[in-house]
Amino acid sequence: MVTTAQERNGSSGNEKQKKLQNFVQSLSESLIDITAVEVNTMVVEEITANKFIPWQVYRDVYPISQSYLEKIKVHPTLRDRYLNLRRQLEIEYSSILTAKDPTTLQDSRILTDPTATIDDIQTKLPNPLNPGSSSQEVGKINELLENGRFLRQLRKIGEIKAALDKRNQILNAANGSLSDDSQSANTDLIYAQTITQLDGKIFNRFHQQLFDRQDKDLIIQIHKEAVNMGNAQWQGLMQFALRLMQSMLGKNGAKPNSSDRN
Amino acid sequence: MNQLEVKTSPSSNLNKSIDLGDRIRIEEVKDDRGIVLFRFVRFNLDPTSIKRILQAKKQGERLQISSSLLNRLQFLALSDGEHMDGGNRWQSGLTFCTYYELAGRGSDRIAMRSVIGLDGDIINQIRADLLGNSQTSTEIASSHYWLIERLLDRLPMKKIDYTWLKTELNWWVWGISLGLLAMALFLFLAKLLPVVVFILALLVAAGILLAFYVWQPSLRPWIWQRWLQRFLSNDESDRQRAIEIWQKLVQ
Repeated sequence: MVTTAQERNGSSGNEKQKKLQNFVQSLSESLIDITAVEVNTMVVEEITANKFIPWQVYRDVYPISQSYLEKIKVHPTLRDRYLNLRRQLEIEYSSILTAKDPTTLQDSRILTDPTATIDDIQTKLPNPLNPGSSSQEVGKINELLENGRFLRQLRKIGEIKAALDKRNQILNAANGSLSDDSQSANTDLIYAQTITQLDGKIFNRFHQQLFDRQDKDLIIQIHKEAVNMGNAQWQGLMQFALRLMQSMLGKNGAKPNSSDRN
Repeated sequence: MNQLEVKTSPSSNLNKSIDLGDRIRIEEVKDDRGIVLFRFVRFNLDPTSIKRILQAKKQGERLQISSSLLNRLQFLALSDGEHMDGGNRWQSGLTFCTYYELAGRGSDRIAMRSVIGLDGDIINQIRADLLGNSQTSTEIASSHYWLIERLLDRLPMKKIDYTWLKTELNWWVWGISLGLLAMALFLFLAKLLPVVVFILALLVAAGILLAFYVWQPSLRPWIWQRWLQRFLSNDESDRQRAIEIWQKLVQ
């Protein structure tokens, strides 16, 4: 990952253009991607994951497999969820490849075979774990981590993995003390999820463990408020991106709005 | 496309507003080489400020957002960190953290955390031990959500002002054209220039002006392309210039 000054200067023209294209593409893709607003409420023992370093998350998710999870002693009840995260990452990458070149679909078992698990398939993702990897491989990863769509998916996977890691610690610790029904084994879960589609349909999902909690009404109330505010919160962000996009395309992006005096 | 229309703020009480000062901050986590690993919005709240926030929310007051905070927020909305070789990366989601402290004791523990993705995915986390007190937890949650909503409501730029840039460019183009003309005229009158060359210079000056006015409609995309190049550059001074241009352009 160490880039010398010479390399940087040498690659300037083409790479700059590419960076620029990636950025604008990410911006427009984010706006196309939108189909619904999804609000998730989690109760967390300690909120820690206060940063997102794409390379780190990628490196930590890439090696996940059945045998790897056994080796690092992940609690058996959580293994499927870890494997699912790894599967999601593979699916995302294969989708990006297929979007670029539709003929790659036939080699993407993960996309065509719903029963395929991550252990069944040969991964297409570039390997971040080999210290001697070629600069081509490293370049591939860097390019991938600049892809807005992949980055957002990685971020979500990273957020869920952070909660799973925490939960894994708790479960492993509880195994030692025999009391696995303690309150602490009941956290770091997505308890409530509400999806509001752009066509107006609303879907609510609740984790079954929510109903075992004494404070379930409180959690539902907090979730409800998050949903009420969620649409407005996201709209601000989306409008910002939209106006920026319009400006870049030379349209009349930001119109002065006399009624809005904030 | 109704979803994309401008939303006017609900029954804003224009006379009153709440100023939270540096209780709202934008923080950067850097590594030892000075690369920004992560940017997020931090709210430092305590029982007094929460009471005030809930009152403001109820009465439809505005949240005071300084222009420097707004600029930094807009930057965060574009990029939440830098690549390992420098240069801003496109954001993957906006993070807001509320730190709750009792009676000025300060707190390093996050009470609530929200990640808002441009694709509409929102993750809200609340710390388990806060749920022990239902009133406190709902009050913290209400304040946290309201602050995020107010900040993001203000995020879209009201106006992009190109006039200063146009004026600057106009000065340059007219300056060069008239300079050329004046020089040609002087040399012509001093009999140092044949008449053909003088007419040629006249045409070149007119050509420059004409080209400039023909090109003007594509001025905006051009500005933004140049701006983005600076914003994404791995040269620190380029990125600094991008911030300055943004501040001048966006209102």
